[in-house]
Amino acid sequence: MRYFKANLEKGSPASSQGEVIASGGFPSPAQDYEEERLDLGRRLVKNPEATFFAYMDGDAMQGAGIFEGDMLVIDKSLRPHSQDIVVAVVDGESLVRRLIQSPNACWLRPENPKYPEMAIQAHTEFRVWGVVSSVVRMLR
Amino acid sequence: MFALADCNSFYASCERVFRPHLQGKPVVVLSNNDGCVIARSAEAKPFVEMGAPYFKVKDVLDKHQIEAFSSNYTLYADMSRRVMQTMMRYIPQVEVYSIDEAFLDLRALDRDLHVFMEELREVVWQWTDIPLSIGVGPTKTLAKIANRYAKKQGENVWMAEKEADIRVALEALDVSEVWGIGGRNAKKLRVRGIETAWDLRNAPEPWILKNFTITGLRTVRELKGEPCIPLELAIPPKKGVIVSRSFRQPIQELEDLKVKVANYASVAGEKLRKQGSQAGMIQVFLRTNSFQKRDAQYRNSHVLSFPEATNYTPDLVHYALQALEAMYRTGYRYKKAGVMLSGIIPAGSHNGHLFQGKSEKTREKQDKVSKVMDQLNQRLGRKALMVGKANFDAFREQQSILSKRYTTSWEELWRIG
Repeated sequence: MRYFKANLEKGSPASSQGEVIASGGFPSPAQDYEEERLDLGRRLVKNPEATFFAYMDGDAMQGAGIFEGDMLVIDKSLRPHSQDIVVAVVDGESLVRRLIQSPNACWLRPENPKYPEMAIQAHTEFRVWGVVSSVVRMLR
Repeated sequence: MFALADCNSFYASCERVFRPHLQGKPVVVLSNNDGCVIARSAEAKPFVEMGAPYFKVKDVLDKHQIEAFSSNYTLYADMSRRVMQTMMRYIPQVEVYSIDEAFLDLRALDRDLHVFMEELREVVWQWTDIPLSIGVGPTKTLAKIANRYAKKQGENVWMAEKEADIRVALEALDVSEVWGIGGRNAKKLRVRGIETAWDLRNAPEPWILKNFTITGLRTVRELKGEPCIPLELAIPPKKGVIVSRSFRQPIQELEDLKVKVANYASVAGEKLRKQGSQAGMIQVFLRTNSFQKRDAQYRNSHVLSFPEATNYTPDLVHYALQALEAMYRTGYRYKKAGVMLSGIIPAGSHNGHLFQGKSEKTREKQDKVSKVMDQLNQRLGRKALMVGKANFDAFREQQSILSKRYTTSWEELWRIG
């Protein structure tokens, strides 16, 4: 029986789990029960074409548990809903904020009292660049 | 029906994705070495000519607050892939025609195509921030013309569907601009009074066949709305890898040329490994600047066959330098050099000499070395790690205003607050 080491190198496709090939002897009794190992990349990135990563800069969203240096997973294919954390572009400035929508108004809310809440006026140049779908923090 | 979907000012649009404040503002992108302007956003077009040397237009750029960027092909390649794959989700048959264009086969679709193309455009914009123009027509040639017409009219989607519309677009198009015609054929056509695409469409077929072969006839039939050019879905096998650059300053010394050529061989090796292939031979070419009439002129190239196919950078560098030394002559001011790898076969297929070839162990070791090099370069920025001669600053070309590799390097991600 030969074992091949699992390919865990950086950049290798997440699906390339180590293949175990029985070249002689008995086939594994677990063979028919094998399932694919969980893949965090695929869990976080539902739509690779539309997903971009970025780092949080500053403390405007610390109340929502997003800190300086955290990695944001931004899915541009998601339709923004009220209460979503989004990357918004306001008069040319890119911001990470909570989107609050009511039938006749729209705000961008920081999660830190140091920053002002921003009401989107009719004349404001505004668009949602993408929806932050998850946040990743590496501890070591 | 077919469509040609084309990214508007693609390189400039890529530069705007992570700089949303530049939407609607003029942007240009420069060639390698920041030599000249190779892409302009619509807003920049009235002020800057295509191909204008950067140093000459610097003042104009400043005056009109036009943002300039060094070309960031790593970013463009990834954005291109995203755009193409997004379209493939919605359209079963997509031919990627270039980094920023794709032909779509819409024949199997039972929908209002105009509405569908508007939706496709919207999805691509939403997912990638890249704007598209789409031309639709009964053939690929007409789709391409429809695309041009869309851009000219400032429309997002334009349909060359009704006979009258097709006629308008064809009459407005110079015959040299028809896909597959080009300047030389156009000259021949003009002699016969064929000035526009519409004239070409109505030219007698036997005469076209006689003077422009079957290729010309196919174009004429396509202009009439008869599909003759199918979608090319299969990616053609890689023919070769070329890496060449013009130098900012002329180079005279062999030692300096060696550094350049070694760098090019390294980059070519990386490309080779990326596409999973090996090369059987290398050609190195070298030339002076033929526009400098007063300078002595020299150009040459040298080919070497490898004893066995390889993609191992130290091997490639070794042979590249050997070829360079074989043709280098002193006393010239060299302007350009390049490395071409050919005889491409898939990696792992060994066609070397049975006994003289490298042992399996050596091969494995070399593959490992290459992999580590590629990974480090990936992490630290391209050209961080090079072999021997290549390990110089020379390849850090003049790219003073290079944007980050936002989508391919963890270290260079966008930072937003």
